[in-house]
Amino acid sequence: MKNIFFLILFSFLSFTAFSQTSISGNIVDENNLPVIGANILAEGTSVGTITGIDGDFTLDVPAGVENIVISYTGYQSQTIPLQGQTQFFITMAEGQVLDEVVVTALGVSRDEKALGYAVQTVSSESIKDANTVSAIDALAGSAAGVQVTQASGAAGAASRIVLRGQTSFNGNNQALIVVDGVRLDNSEFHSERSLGGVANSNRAMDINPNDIENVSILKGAAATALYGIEGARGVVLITTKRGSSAGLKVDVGTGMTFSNINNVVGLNDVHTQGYSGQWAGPSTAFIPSAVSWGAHKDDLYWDGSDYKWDKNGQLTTDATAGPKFVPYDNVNNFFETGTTWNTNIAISGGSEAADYRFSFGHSDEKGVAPNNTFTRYNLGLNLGSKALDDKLDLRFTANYAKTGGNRVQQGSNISGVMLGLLRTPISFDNANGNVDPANDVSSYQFEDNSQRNYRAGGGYDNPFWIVNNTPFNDNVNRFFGNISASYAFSDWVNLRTTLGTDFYTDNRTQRFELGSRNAPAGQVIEDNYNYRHTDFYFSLLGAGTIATDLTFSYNVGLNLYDEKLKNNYIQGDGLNFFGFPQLGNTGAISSTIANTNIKTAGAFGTFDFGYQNFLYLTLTGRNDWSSTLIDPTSEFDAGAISFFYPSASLGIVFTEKIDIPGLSFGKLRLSYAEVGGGAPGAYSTSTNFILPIQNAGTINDIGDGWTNGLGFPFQGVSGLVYSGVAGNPALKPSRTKDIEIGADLRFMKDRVGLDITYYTRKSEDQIIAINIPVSTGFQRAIVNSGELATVGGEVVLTLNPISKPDFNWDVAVNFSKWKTTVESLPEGVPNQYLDGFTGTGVYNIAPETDDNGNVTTTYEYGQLLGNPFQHVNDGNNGFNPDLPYNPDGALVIDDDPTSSNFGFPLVDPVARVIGNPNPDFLLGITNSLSYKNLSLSFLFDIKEGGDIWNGTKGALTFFGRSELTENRGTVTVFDGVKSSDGGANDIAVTLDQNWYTGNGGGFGSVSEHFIEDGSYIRLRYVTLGYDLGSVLDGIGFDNLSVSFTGRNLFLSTPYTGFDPDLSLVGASSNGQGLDYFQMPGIKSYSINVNATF
Amino acid sequence: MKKYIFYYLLVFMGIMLIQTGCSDDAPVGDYFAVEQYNARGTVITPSNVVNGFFDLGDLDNSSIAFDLAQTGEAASSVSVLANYNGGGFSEVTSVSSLPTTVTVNANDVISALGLDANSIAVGDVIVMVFDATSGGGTYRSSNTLSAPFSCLSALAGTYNYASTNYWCAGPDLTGEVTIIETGAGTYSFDDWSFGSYGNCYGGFGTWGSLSMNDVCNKISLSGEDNYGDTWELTINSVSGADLDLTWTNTYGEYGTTVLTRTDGTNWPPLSN
Repeated sequence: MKNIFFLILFSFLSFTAFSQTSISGNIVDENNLPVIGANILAEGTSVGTITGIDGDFTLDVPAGVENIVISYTGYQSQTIPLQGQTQFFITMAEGQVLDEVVVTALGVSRDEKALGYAVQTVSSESIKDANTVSAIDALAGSAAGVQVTQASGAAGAASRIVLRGQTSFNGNNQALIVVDGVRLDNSEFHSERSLGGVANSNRAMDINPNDIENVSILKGAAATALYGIEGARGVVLITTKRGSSAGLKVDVGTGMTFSNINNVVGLNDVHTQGYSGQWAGPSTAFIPSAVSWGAHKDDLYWDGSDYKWDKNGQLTTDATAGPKFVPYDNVNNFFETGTTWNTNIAISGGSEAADYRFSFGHSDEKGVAPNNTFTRYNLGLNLGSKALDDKLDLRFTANYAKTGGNRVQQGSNISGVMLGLLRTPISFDNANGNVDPANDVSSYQFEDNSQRNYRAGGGYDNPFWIVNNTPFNDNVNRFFGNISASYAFSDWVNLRTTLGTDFYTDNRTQRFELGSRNAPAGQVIEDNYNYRHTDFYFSLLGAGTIATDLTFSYNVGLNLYDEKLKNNYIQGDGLNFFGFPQLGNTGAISSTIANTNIKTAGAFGTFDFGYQNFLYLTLTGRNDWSSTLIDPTSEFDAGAISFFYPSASLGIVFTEKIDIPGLSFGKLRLSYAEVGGGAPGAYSTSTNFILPIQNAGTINDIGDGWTNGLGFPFQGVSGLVYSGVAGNPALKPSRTKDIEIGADLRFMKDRVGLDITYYTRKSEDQIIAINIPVSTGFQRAIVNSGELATVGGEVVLTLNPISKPDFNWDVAVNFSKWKTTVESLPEGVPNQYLDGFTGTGVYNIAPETDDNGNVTTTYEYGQLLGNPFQHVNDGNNGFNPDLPYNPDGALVIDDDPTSSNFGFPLVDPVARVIGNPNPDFLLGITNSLSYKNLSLSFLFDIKEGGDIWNGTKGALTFFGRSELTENRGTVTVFDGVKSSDGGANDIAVTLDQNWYTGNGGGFGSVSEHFIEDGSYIRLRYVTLGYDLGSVLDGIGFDNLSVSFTGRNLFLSTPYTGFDPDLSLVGASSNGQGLDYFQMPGIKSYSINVNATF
Repeated sequence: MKKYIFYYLLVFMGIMLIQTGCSDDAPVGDYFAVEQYNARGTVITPSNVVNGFFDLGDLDNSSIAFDLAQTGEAASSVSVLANYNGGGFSEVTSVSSLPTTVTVNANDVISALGLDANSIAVGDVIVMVFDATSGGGTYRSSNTLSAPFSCLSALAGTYNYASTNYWCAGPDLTGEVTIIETGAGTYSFDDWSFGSYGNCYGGFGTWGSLSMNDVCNKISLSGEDNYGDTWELTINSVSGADLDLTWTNTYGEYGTTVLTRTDGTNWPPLSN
């Protein structure tokens, strides 16, 4: 592969016979003063230069280039035709008029100053600097209002992107992704329960970051209303790269990334397996134990006996028996240095009449866990053509992605890597002394194929068993793209039609070899998804001047959307023999097929008015008809599934009318928008029959990750059952209302920019699944009730502190803060389960009211609910369960001497809101510096707040494996008050096994003490680049650059778990803030080489 | 004024931005271990308890003895305090060095707590706690010692049984049964069916947590067998070396048995 790459590279190098034209010139401002550091770029190439101290420049322009582009911060950019000239004397005008064009809804490019809502653009350079496999990961910290959370540090794991908080109780809260004007599916399918299983990809992973020209972040409903309810979540609008008229250009890039885990929860490195201070290993006389409450390492010696679980023998306190015991370092023995090899080639070019770009991308990622891989191949084609005197514009984009890999089990899962790895005591060597344990079967398996693990074959899988004997393979073949045509009858009448499609197959196989703890009898799952959607737009649009100083543009049209998903799930239980984990080798096969079809028809219109470059008004309206609202019990009524929603936005460029000293540009924005929507999923209006699979559960129920529901075939008899979710044929559309005001201010010739936004949003008539009494025959019902309200703000600050001929420094600061509260839940429903465990889960909580029904307390979206300790909350040094939770109150200590809990904190019997996973604010600070050919950019990503349940630490505390438990035996006196009289506590207790395996650990009745602050300051990336272009001009390179990138090299956080940026339940779940044995986060180092010629 | 209107707007929006939410307090998990797990105080642990109760039949000679050891801060003195049926604590004795063995006489407790010996009943409980004084202050240890007022019980032994009128209507049965002492005043039988399971099922049952309790000659059963059934035992009569009893369980099994001592002694006056 490497040879092929170099062969291609040097093949292209042979095309060195490019001719060049040398031009020169001088640039001044309106006062005839030289403009220093202005950029001069040969259009369509990366060849450019900047003006010197006297405003002079010279540039070798490649053949075929027809224009040069002059730009400078604070001045209007200019495109100047060469027309055979070699000398240019240019005057730049100050940037009173912004000519920054941004891509808005439906792919319409608009002048940013005309917008009445906030739009932020992320450039291809920023994405390149971030150097991520996932394009979504590259957006973290790069724009205000954007929150990106990784599901796990595993290769190929999904990333969640949320813009300005949540809009839906049950539905998708992630931003809609649109590529070249057409929706892109970003589903994350779980073949197993979200609390366990593997870290899946979501389908945004299929995008090649190197094909992205820019990303527009449309956050408010006014910006996104034309996308319907999906747009209410915000839109990530991706525009892919195109060819230019500058002639053939070849971009070649390759890079290698090395990655390591960046953090592991603190572990107990001194105590061995066993209990009551005595070592007990597998198959020892002293009953083997799951926990590490055994002897201290310093008190133990290997006896050298023949012991099949350890080559060094059993452990003894007899110092004469053999060498002193040295703890095994299972964590470091397990993880490897991950590698990612990226290769990208793009060939582009064109003429005035046509352009083309063909790209190939390959990303080959090997995770930090053995055998965890992720591979992606991308082919991209983007063709454009103009004809009929440029009246006909045709474009065709096609993207093929082949992705997939080998994933490892994680989470709440006795076959999970981290669960087995971290629970393994220091006295058991998962590697069995092998140098390459992942590839040496004797590490994890005996000759009789039984498993070698620290619980003598029971308990949890040996991590090396997992990565070898429980593989999950997925293989996605995907095509997405569109064909569009527009014909300009006149400026006032343009017809445009776009047909986009996105279809893929996602074929997965999960194997559990005989003896795997998750399926001791063996299991094979074939889980296949066939997805397809078509997205068709037909619109009529035009623009022009309708009166003096009054401009007008419009876009009216139709949108038809059709989505189909077929899931074929086959599960084989009970392997007949070891070594052949195939479906045909299983004893009992059951299957289920699910077909889903959603259709939406929409009619939309947008009307833009502009007055004197000062006032801009945009009105939009859209009417949708959604199949998700069809009442199956009644005759079809189109009116019943129809809903209309309008928006209006106003942009006031007040600096056109008011001259304010120091202010080079100022605009106020104001917008109001409504967005309607159907049900969050198909068939919510009917109660469905389902075919539950044995051991796969019936609905996504509250569970602890260990138990499953009834399934069929049951004792050989097949059957269908009603779903546990009762449908509701009377559902009506939900509605989101959004108000946004903001200001865009630029100072000092635009070298300082300040964009501030304030917004509120209400999401009403939410379609929500609520728990109902099981005596109804159902566990949940779909109802049309509930309201969410969001209030938030954003500040974007851009600075250009230094702009010298050889040195430039740009700073971009993105601050965002929002709060989404649950204003109401259906009557009588105290909370809504989102995700998590029986003891600690994430819920939407109904507001609390007083006796008169007045709301006294509201809660933010997705709160962590669990039992705390009792805290003083009655104002009298006492505790009253009927009064609100008071985490700052003193602990209430059990002072009943007959109680087994004597001297320890009492448990609050009421489940309380004990954590808020939503951040207080996000702050991204990007610095970009360049000195001659050297460039440096780095992004500090800051999150303040956002609580996380550190369930990993809690469980490890129970097991005696948490670092916390190294203090076992410590005598302490809890700070608190005595339960009987409120007096200061004076009861001394021992922090021992009983405490930590009880309420002091994660498996007790209390979870409050494992709720931690997930704030962080992170050096998200730092990229150092050097451009060798000028050195290599003679051999035909337009540009050759080398860059080094480090990601997550610095992380400061109070969080004591893996990484506060990870989420157990993946990207698609609305229940964030859970940490339970998912794969750890990674830090990485990359070197990349990019060449253009 | 007009020139500066946008600055006012800016300030206005800034205020609104700040008001979008207040930062949360630090979650408990951030500081719980840091603030609560500091080494402090002394834990006194009683062990090797001799006589786990005060004998109501002979209070003058009844005492409890136990060893005391310490962990945590070194204690300069330890007060042994006691209460009666959950009342207030009073010091019974104190020690100044550890480890040590402490003997607490029943009369010392009665005196310290100001009890009327004649009003003490079976099942009344003395709870002893230990207040240790160290450099950091005086702290009560979480380890306590409960001592009920009870009576000596000596029912363990092997006895002859004669079972009649049992649930499967088999022939009269005779054999030996052993009463095993599992704790002070608590016992189990090696065959709770007194031969009937052997005759009716061809084997023994699994007795689970069944236990017979003797509190000053009052007999009761507790626990359940491995099938989840609870049992009852009724004393019909005590006559010299013969103990006539009837047993039933929630599964519907029953029987009548006479247990006969063979060591020449008589049964105490047992009743329910």
